[in-house]
Amino acid sequence: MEELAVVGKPVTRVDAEEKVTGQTVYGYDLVLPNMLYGKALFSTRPHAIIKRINTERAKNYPGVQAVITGADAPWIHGETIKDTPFLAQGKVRYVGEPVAAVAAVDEDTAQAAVALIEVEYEDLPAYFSPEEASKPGARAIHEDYPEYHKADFIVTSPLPNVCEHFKLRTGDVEQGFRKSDLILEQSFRVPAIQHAAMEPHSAHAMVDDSGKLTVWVPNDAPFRVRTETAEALGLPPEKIRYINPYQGGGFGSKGGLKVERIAIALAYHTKGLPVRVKFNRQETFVSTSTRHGAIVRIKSGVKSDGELVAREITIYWDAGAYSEKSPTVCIRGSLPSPGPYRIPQVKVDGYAVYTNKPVAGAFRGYGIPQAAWACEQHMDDLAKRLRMDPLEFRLKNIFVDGDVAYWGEQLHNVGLKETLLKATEGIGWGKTEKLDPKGFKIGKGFACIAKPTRTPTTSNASVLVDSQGKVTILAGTVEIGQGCSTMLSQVAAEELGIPIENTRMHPLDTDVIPFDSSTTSSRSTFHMGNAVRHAAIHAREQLAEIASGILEAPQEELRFSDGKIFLDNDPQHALTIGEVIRRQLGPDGVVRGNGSYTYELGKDVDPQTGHSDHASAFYMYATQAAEVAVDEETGRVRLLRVVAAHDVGKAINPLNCVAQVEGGLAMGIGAALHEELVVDDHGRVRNSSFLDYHLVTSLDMPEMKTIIVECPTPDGPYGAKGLGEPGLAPTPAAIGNAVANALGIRIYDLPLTPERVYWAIQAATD
Amino acid sequence: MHTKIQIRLNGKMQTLTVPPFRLLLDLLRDEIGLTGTKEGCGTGDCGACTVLLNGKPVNSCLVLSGELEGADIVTIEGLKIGPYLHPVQQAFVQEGGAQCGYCTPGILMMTKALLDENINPTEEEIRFALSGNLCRCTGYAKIIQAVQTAAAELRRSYEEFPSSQRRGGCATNKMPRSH
Amino acid sequence: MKRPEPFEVFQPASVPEAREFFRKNGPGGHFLAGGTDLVIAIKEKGLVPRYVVDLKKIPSLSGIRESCDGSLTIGALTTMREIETSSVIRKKYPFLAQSAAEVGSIQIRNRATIGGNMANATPSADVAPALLVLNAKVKISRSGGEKIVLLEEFFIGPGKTIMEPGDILTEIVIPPTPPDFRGEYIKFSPREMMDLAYVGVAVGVVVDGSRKICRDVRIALGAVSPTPIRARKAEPLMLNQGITPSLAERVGEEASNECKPISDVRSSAAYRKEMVRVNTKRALLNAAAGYVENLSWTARRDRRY
Repeated sequence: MEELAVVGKPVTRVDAEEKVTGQTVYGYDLVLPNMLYGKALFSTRPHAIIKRINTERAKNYPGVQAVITGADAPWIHGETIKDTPFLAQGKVRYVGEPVAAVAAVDEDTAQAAVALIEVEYEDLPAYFSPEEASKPGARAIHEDYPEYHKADFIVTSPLPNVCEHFKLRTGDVEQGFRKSDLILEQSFRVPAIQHAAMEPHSAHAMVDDSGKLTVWVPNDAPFRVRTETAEALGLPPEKIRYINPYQGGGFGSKGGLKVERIAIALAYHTKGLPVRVKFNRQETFVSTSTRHGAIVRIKSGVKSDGELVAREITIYWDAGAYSEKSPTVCIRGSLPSPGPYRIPQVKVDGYAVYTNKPVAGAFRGYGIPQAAWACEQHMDDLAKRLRMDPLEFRLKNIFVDGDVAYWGEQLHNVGLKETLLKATEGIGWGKTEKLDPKGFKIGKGFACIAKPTRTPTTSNASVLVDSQGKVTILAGTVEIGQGCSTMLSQVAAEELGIPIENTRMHPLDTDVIPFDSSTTSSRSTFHMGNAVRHAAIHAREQLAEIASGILEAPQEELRFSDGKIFLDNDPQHALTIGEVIRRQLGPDGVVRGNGSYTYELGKDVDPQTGHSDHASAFYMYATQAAEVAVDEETGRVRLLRVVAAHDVGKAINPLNCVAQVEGGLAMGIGAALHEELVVDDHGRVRNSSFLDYHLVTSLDMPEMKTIIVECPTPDGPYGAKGLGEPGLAPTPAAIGNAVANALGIRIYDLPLTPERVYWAIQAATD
Repeated sequence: MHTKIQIRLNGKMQTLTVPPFRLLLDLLRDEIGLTGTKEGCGTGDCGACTVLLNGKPVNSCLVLSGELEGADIVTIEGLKIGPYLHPVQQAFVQEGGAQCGYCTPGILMMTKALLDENINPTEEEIRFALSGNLCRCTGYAKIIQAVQTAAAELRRSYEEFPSSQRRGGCATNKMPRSH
Repeated sequence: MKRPEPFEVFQPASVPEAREFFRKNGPGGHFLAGGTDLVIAIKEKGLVPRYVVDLKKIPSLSGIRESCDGSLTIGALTTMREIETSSVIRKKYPFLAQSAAEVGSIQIRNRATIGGNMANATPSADVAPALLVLNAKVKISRSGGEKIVLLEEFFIGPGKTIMEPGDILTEIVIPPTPPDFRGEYIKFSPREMMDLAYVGVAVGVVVDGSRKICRDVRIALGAVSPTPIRARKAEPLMLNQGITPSLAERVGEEASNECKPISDVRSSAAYRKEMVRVNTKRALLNAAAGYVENLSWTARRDRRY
């Protein structure tokens, strides 16, 4: 391969300077002329019929422009199941559901008016556990579920409150268990956690005289949310425009219609004036979305030599009150839940179950972290019973090149083994550390994952090259903080042979930017990277055609480097790119290159067997290892070191790759040791603040080591694949295994708070 | 209900008529239009709204406008030195200390306060100083690295130009940026 | 969480002026010290003050003064950060400086004041146990003169003190301690920083130099009763005894029996009791081991583990 000039280099972020000077415009930094301020009233009941809403006093409050309820916004939305009202329609299904909203001249007025709205409820029985809610005989939280409009792939269930049932059937697990020398059955729990992006959710919306709706919101999938909005409102998509200010972190929370729908509903009642709705932190915790709490039951059969024979998994995904992304989390989280191992007999049942809790949705990792918490600790316990080293046990069973996975797909370019060997080497697996001076128990553990990406999806991009040689990139990938702007600028600069300083990203606006599926599922480096690359190559070809006429040389002999076009053997007669455009198209000329990329799926995932010959455009592989010291007297787990090895295909920006992994680790450590959204038996979130919901601080972070493994995937740009999500996926399981290694006690539930660990130690010693 | 206050904001004296119950964060963002200071929680638990009040880092979400008579306030918009990035800003660019960037203004103000007091902090001192600034993106490693780089750069520049030390590389003694 | 509703802010220049202001303007007024509790109460707990009297412009309320008899006076408006970094306090009572350093973040500690913190009477206040083992007193300015009361008698319930409307807490007074007094404060909470104490334990001991015998023992607990408390039943167990791990454990058990914690989102009552036992033991053993000169965070963390 030819030497790369920009790709593969630790280029500093293109958006860094505006971010360190405070100039970046995030969601609620935006100020629109004559803007009104919206506030919502949220349900205080987990499940209740709305008997009556009285908005009179709010409407008469000075400065109020509009007070609306479900009757004023009778729209239903949903990405795969249309079950979610913009504002509650006749009943509420969780504490925190938007019931009414006010638009007023300022935020203080809106807040005061919201407090004047009176709602009378009649309580219904509520469910706070997916197991309870799906027991035969349980009352339906969505009485109209059978009639809801659903995507084709949704599999319903006779069990109550199940909004999706995923099935994987490979071989005969019962026969597999009969042939096994050892069978182990365990059950693990993962609580709901919250994304807690530092920027709270906010949106602005306006409806102009022509009926066109414009929404300004940091949303991670502007085109998808445009479609969802269009379907809900019954508008053609061209009547809707989404404009994306910068996003202050998202991690999956800022997709779909959340705060957006309140702003949109109000905008239809403000006589053309724009309205801003900003959630505060508490509202963001309760009323946007969470990561799915999950109950994972896992049963495995193995041969005494460590060969995996059969695995059966049942997962209850706690969807919360509305389906949001639960069906696809259930499918894509359940499918690889048996782990990255060769297993001939596999049976998986995943149930996404409605409960009367805050809505669960997409969260970095999309189901993989929950399954990994169960599977990877289960693997260690199997190894222990087999009297095998956990590393040896995994090496015997992990996916390698050419394996056919249990969902029927042959895998290629599998970097998993290298991550496993490097992470365990990094943590000093098998080496005994010196004893802790205070007598704390030291332990080490590790965990592996494979994560698919959403497939099939499409990215389009354009690059505009002007007569000064400056390049504008039009790409629908959202800069959430992950560094996509830098990565895409590197790709364009590489293909056009220009300095990265000569590129800029066009702001994201669905009226201008070509379609992109979403900035989710770690898909953008692969898909949009390819689209921008193709667009840049398309522009380069046009430039080469012009330049070949000027330089009187065949196109294929032209070189592009440092903003110039020249013949290899004649660099003295180089033309700048700007000069080439000026000569042919004049001083105002622009060359536009277009690129498109769709990863074609083979056979779609079969709804009855879960099989597919190509379930994902690529798979991300990772192994993380941890070393802990456990204070047995208090139960406190002190994390000493973590090592993360990730197969990224090719690191387009090694600096940002390491940054993604480090950020993932911090989130994974939080999920392992601290984070849980606590919902009480009245359905109320008890810790909806940063005081009681514990993100890790700078003092909680251990020494981190990130190892980038490059096992190129031929379809990716320069061999690259995704990396956004895996950073947190194996972390809790690696820490859980380290704690079990230290104490000789397995703890099945997250998070590993001092109190949970303490009682587990007490229970084991009793 | 308004009260008149005189403050020095990013080096410039200003007389403002403000509601006394308005929080400094909202005063800066909504009434003055300086949106670089961010709200992360509104309850003093995340540090995103950190500004320097009389030289000391505070959560602007917990300060009332009615307390501000005579106050000296520096926000992220006042950190640049003329047209140049402050060494702290430069270091965060260089080391990749910002990802989504939302916590960054608060972290930079906290970093400036730390380095004004201690030009040679240990890693532990940096972690301790920044423990009130939550970041959900970075895992803090590159932030810590950036603070170390900034400290080294400031030490170098003080050796070269000892007179700049008294100013602490601080924009408050320079011409203010116009907004 | 909501935005504050309208109210006036006054900034008197003296304590009498502040009290006069309050008297004249009638009910619905609140004194403002650092604001880290008051503003939260306004935003989160539905407090709607009619007016606020800011005490920060009153010079006499600030500062740390050491008297020739060895007593220490801390002005009520002294910030937690000032206590944390005060050279006098770091030298004389490093564990008090440490307890202040456990509060929130530097940003919070630059605002939060010791007087405001005591007047707010949060059961989990980090500085309270440290002050309790120092037998600290509070000075209150009220109509008809000054009242000085032991801090132990000052708290009467969560958020409740003996102060009446219009009273101003002006000073914390720490009486002299014997020269070989040693203190320790351990905050127990899952997160290393930016957390409320799930359990806070302060101890103060006077150890007879030659015979290693405890001549005075004081133990105070935070976050495990309606107010910060002294563990009066546990303390005598150690009196005139040498501090050994087994005795410290027994004293910890007694302290654990004495407290009345609640279960909440942070912790169960049962676990809090266990942590009182363990951390009382650790605090006693740390104190017996003598002052640790190193006040760094790592040293502090390692001592609480």
